[in-house]
Amino acid sequence: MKANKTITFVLSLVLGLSFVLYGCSDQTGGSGQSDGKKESVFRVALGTNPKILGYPAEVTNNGPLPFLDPALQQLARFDEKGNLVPLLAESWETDAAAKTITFKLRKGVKYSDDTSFDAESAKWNIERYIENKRSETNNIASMDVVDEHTLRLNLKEWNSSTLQAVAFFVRYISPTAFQAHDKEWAYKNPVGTGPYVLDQWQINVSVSYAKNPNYWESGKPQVDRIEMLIIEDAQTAASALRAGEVDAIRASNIDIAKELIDSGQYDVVVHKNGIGAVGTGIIPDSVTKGSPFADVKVRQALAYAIDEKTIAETFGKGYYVTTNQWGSPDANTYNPDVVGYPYNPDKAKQLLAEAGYPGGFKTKLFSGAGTKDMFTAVQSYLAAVGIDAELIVVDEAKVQDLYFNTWEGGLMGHFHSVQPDLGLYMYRHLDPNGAFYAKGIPHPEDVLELLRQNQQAPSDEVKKETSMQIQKLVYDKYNIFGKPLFIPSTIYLKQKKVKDDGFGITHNDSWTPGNVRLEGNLE
Amino acid sequence: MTLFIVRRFVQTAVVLLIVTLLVFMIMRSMPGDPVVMFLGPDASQEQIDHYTAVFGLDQPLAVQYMKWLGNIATGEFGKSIVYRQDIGPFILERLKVTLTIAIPAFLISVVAGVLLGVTAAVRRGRLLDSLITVMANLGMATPIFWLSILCVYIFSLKLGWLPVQGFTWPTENFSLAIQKMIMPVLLLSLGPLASYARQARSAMLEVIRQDYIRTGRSKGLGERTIIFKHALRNALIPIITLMGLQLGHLIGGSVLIEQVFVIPGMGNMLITAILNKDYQLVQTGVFVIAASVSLCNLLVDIAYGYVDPRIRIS
Repeated sequence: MKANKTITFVLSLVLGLSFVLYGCSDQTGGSGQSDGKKESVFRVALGTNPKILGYPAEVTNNGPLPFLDPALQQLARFDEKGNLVPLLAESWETDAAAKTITFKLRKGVKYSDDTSFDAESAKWNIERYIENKRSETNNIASMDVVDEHTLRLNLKEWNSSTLQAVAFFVRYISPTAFQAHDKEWAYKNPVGTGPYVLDQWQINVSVSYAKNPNYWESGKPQVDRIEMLIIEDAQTAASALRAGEVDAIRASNIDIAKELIDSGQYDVVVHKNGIGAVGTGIIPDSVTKGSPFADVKVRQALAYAIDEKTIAETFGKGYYVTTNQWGSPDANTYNPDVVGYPYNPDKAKQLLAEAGYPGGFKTKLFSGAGTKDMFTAVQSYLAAVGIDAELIVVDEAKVQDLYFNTWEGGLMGHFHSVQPDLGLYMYRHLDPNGAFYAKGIPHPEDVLELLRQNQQAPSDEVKKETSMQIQKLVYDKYNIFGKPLFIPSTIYLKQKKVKDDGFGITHNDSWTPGNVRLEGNLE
Repeated sequence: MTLFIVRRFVQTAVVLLIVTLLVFMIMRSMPGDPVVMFLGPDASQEQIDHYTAVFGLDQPLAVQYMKWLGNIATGEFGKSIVYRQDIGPFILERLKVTLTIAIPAFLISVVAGVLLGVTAAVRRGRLLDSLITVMANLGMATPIFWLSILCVYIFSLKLGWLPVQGFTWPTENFSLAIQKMIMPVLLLSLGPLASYARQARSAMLEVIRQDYIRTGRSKGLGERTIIFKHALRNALIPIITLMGLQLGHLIGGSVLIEQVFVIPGMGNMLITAILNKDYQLVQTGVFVIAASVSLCNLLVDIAYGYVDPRIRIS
């Protein structure tokens, strides 16, 4: 009898507590209230995880860049077509003969600590990048502060890629705030010119921003707060979107994304221009002694053997873009004259026979855990033409280790920035002293010469012309990179009230936090 | 007893020293370069060389190990390669989060598991026993990841009772914190609860057949006194052993729960650190977990002495 009373008491307590908690909870979803005043909040979940927020010179890859966008800005950003448009710079002039780039900086811009953004502070910021050996700034010999709002970069040699590298990738923080503290403080405290100021950073969980009341663009930002959640598990991110806990997600799993798209409840943005995207291909090690891929005919046979369209359709559910060269077909350096290697197993067998491998050969195919299924499909395509590739699944660190060296005369995934600037991005692999993939691929002198011409192009026309020639040589003549498979399009899913956030429109890892609006539903 | 505790402390210190050496060697023998992971696929050789020197990875391994050991001895722990922050406060923050989830899960699993096990043993062969045994087996066999997704689907998406993800400190927003903790805590307690229930049942079955229990009954002692005072105390030894192991497991092993519910605890931190080859953070994180497990085992050994005087005397 006493036991029954105890059980009843405990159950009542639990039930009562549940109702109290449910009643007390914040059920407002995308917007919250603070001190009785309505506050609009935009919540977005991303799968990437920032490690540094306030010292961009040490933010060394693109994944965390969206977390920096609310507070830290650049001189320029990309538009939808990949052209640079002014942001903190009003304009710029390039002079190939004098080897200079001159930026006219926007007047009246202040950092969030109320100090001025001017040529001196811009110079100080670029110096931090140089100090960190950043490739974006390694071509700068010196800088001149021409006047308060004009900064001239003197280059070691004329390189057409430097403008984009400096204008887009260098972000600006307040030198005053940095000098008042130290680098470790700066890692956690972004003090920039952006529309928001950091409110709270819970490492591995979320980054919250509040409005910057002194922002230089009038009428912006429109949303009071931004909360960027770090949700690496695709299923959890999708559930958070479904439950209304977040307003937008970057979908990292194509099947889950497809399910959400098919529900018709969300706005969908698919990133298509390839800027900032990472392409996927199969790259042979042509350098290791005894590798059959040292023969260009074998590299061509490899490319003919794989049906990239079927692979892209199967694994990308219609959201992967196939290509036969470096970059997306929408890119301005895409050469339509590149013939490439459309799926043709008979041609592959013929080339193998001509290369002295009529019965095929054995090789290795290295894969990370994430690409195992896709590479199994590749393995079966290769088997059909006689290439017996042993699939070896290794962890991500081993993958990096392989492409930092050679990959045992076999095959592995080719993951590369498909940005259209070939002199900058393709050269990172083709540079004989490059860090990644460089040790396992050939470096033909005519390709290197064209890349040099591309880098030193005095005009956009020359740059484009040399880009076309590079694509033709690298793929049709030498087939250095093996088989380009596809460029995965990043998919953003948003509640229908979210407008003008800019996700998936320009650079893959860039958005426009100052423009975000939440239509209605703010009660 | 004091000598026993001192001896166990010394043994623990030796174990921890061996752990540091093993972790250091394992991390350094794994493929991959933390600098390459840190810089990403577009890094230049110049950058790689620069950061290798910045992180002190250009020094001989023996020097790196001794430096790390020195850091541990002074309680400074060094800096994380990836997060560029002092590791001590960084891990402490995550340990607090993990303990906020793990301790309630531990208490729920112990209390409920032992009670269910005792009930099953006392009602041996009856419907309740079968029910508890089947549920315990299910609890142990069900993949926690799958069950987590199912619970999110039911309680968050369909019923809308609980949040999908996240962690809030009770001091910031108590009701939200409790709501966010309900699913992770209950799911985390499920596996250990089932283990306790099975262990308690079999230990109790062993004990309640003993002569002294029969003697107690013949002397007219109440059933509750016999079960909870005389039988359970003697059945506790294997359960306490299990408690020591499970507590260590909860501190280091809540990885899946932390991943699914986006909880910034030790498991979540270690996964990120391992994937990024953050040597210092992984080494120190594993050291802290090893120290916690060793401490739990030490407490278990001391608890044996109190629960069973024969052990204390020997």
